[in-house]
Amino acid sequence: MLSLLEFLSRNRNFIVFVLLEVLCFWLISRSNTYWGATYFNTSNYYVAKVLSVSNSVRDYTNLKEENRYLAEENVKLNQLVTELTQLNTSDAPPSYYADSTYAKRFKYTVAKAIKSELYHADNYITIDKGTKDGIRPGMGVLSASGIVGRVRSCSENFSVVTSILHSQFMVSTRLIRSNEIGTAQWPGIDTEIIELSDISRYKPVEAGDTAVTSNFNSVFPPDIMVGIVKNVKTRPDQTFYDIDLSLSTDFRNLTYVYVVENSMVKEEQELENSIK
Amino acid sequence: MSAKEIISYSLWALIFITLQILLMQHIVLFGYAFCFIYIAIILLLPVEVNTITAMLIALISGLLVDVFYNTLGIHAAASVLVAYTRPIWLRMIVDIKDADRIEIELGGLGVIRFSMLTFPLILLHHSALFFIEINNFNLLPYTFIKIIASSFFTMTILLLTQSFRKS
Repeated sequence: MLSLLEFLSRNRNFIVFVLLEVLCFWLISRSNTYWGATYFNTSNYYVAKVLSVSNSVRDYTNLKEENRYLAEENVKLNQLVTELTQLNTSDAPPSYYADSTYAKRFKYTVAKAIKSELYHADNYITIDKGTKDGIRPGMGVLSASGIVGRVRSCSENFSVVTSILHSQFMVSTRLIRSNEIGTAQWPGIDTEIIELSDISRYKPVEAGDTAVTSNFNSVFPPDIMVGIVKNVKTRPDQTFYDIDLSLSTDFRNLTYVYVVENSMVKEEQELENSIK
Repeated sequence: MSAKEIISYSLWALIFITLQILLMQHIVLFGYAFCFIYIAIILLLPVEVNTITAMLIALISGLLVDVFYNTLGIHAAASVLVAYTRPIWLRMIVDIKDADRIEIELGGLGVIRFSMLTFPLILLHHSALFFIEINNFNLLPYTFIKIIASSFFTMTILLLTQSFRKS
């Protein structure tokens, strides 16, 4: 008995070592086979919490790349949405079928805004895509949240876009609820407000109504968000409302924009010009 | 071991575990080199800590890392092995009479002697880790490359962190 104790005491390191290793291998084999509700893994609340914090840091460093992927994905989705809404227009009579080439006339390209002016009377945005990527003057430019402007001139790798914050820029705009079409134009001053005119004051218009691009538009696809009605004023001697829209595009944080190409705009314009 | 030493050591242990869980877990160099810096907790334990205590510390830190890697037991097994082997290796490489007093730190030992003491243990730890992990010997060359690359990676990080430590 004494010699046994002496043996244990002399080899206690080794014995503890073997015991601990047995414990470890028992844990390994158990977690391999017993796949049920094991507690000591990353599904544990505290472990998951720590991992999600560490992941949020990682996410932050990946944001740039993530943004690029999202922008690319948006291009595809935008294309699909315009195609589908053009094919099945909800307000059309049942006998109307859109021609598929007509429905597919809008093509999207993603670009990055590298410079965005805000404080001039006529503001321009510079984007990092040019003629090399198929950008041509006259194309429409959108952001994820709404319209941005129209391409003014292109070099090989860059393009200058006339922002909607430009004194001469006009967009044919439709109010969804009252189905009235008017013209939106930037009055200057505030970069978040745009004026909507030519809306008859005998139609119901309220603050909160949504304004989108209309069908009478060869640059922008229809139903692109322009803004939301902020306040409505009437003057006694006018038959039209004075409507302030709060712009849906945030020009301060413009990063990725989508350039829209209408492949049939040339044909349309030639036809229209031929009768003048 | 004074209270001050214990506190300083615990702080370093915390730093190594945090580094491992939050940072090193996401870093893989060239698809081969992993870093398991938490093993420094056992490597840098003062020598007067007895083997059983060292093994228990190894078990706890190993299990902690395991929980985050979803590999319950693997890191613990490898760490306990290192904790058991460390005094044996120290006695082999250092004179017997020095083995109980030696301080394992970069400042006192110099890069070469420090590496001689720690690198074989890192190699042992990583070998144990990867072989337990793959559980067979089919991917032998691939596993060897992984072990060697990871050992050098861990060693580099260990030297880096130790150069920040005041001697």
